[in-house]
Amino acid sequence: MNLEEHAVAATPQPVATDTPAEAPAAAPTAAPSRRRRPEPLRTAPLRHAATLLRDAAPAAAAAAPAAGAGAAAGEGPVALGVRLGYQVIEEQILLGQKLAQRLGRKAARAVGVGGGAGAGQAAEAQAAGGGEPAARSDAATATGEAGELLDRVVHLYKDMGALCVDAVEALARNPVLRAGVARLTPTPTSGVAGGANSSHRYALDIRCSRRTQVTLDLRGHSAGGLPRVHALHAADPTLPPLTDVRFTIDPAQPEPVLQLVIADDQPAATYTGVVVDGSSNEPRGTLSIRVLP
Amino acid sequence: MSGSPAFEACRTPSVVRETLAEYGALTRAAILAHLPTGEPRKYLYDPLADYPQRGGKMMRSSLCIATARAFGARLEDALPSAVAIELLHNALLVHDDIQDGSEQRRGRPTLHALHGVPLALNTGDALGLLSLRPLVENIDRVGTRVALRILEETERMAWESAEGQAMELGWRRDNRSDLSDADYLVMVLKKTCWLATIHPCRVGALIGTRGRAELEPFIRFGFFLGAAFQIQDDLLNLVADDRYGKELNGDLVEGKRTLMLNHVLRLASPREQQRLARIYDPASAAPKASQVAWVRGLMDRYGSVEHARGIAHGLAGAALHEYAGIHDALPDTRDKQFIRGLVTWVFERT
Repeated sequence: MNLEEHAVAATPQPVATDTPAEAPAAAPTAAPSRRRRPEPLRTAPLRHAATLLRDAAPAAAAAAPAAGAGAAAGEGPVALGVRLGYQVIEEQILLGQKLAQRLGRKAARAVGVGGGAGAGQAAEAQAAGGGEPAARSDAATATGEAGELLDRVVHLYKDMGALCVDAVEALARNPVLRAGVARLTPTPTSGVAGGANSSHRYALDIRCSRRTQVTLDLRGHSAGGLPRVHALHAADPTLPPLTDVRFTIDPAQPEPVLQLVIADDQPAATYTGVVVDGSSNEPRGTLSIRVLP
Repeated sequence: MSGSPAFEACRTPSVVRETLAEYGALTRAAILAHLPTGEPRKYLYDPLADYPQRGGKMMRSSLCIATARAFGARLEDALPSAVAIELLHNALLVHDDIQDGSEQRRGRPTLHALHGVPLALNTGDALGLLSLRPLVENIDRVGTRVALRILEETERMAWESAEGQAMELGWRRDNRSDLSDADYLVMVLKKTCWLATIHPCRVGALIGTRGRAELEPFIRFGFFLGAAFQIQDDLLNLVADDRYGKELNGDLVEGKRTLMLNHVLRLASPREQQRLARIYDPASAAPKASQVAWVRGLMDRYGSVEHARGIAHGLAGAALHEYAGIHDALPDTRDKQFIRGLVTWVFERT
């Protein structure tokens, strides 16, 4: 809105005044005059050589929109900040995608199967890139298609790699499977345990509502009888030990059974204790139970 | 320093300072637990603990934790990443202070002023190495796949930061006077925003969503927030009091290409430009106080401070817009309020 429009809008009088807010008081005594723009300081460009040295007119220079190189006419610094900000960030995101695309291809060539940091973004960038120029040569087309194919392969291998990592992670985090890896042969609720160097195997009977990991490490041969295990303690001495742990014989099981009963409120921690020979009380190994949160 | 009327009317909620204090204390305690001890204590481990113990705003780590929690993660899952971010930040501060010849950091003499450049450089390197340890701990905390993603993110952030730092140092070495506002924003995006805001947000979102977050919007939000933060930091350098913790007008002494100095360099008359070129000639001695005062006067004369302040407020407005796009669908939590409050907080800090 320019000044004239403002004046008309602010005063219901047919003729606007210079001071619209004071118009009612002034009306009886002063004849209203039409508001006019001030006369311009100049009506033609200044082409005098002296204007090359702008020291002569610093105030004018300060007020010039050239204050921000790239600022549109009449654009204030706030609007300039928004416009420039979006312009810069969109350009940089695009550049980042291209860089990722390049790095992804380099990585694919380097390791043979891809999976570089930017491989996924490379595919996304290609997808967002739109159509190819129609006048491209056959060779260029073939190169481009090969590149796309390579990117797809890279993406596929990356996905497969991620799946493998997930699977290994699931294996590593699953207490039963992990226990199996750690020389225990598991079943979901009971397992058969035995040290790698032991002639004995043990079934596992865990009564616990929480996720647990059990590691039984036995060495040497038993002098006779069932092993015994003392209370299992956490590193933090203030935590209550696991005491309901024993080796027993269950007629229904072909192997001796390692029974564990863990209370629901047992604090999460790793509890460890020594397994001793039932008859000689000589140490035979360790039993470690990790109670997860 | 006062902000624009729009931001003055929108005071930062107390949750920002409370969250910074809470998450900052947790992160600092975790950092101290990571600091090695023993020998050579005098030459490495004592200097290593110096900057992390000096305080600081802890904005980066708090933003990481808050973003992770806003997306549903547990605080302890984000803590190792927050520690890594702060350790790397401190490592870069040591190097920055040497490169800039700064004398003060967080209200005390810089590390190289206390121990000399060689030992300070080595300490900075060690802090950078130390920042890798929590990223390895992430494997147990958030799983292998997410931990690897965070490692990739860290690598990218480090590259971006190095590029931004190179741009700024190169501009000063070459005594550039032709830089636009857009040039400055690109430099700040790389030098400041990636480490200060973009990376913490992206890592937090990865942790909170178990690697499923779309990360590109965080570049926009982090850029607008981080750039507003940096411009305000540059403005504070011209007007701040003792609480600021750095030398007043230190950026003008160093010839740092801030929005304000670039603005002056563009608008200056030919004679002024010649004088500016002489003042900031890398081959000549550091500017005298009278020369710094003259440059500062030019900034007032050409409206450079207001120009920069306006751009900062424009960027902050855009940050609020981008914030809404990312966070509006999330439950209204204290962490969400904190992240939004940071946008106004950057203008109220000292």
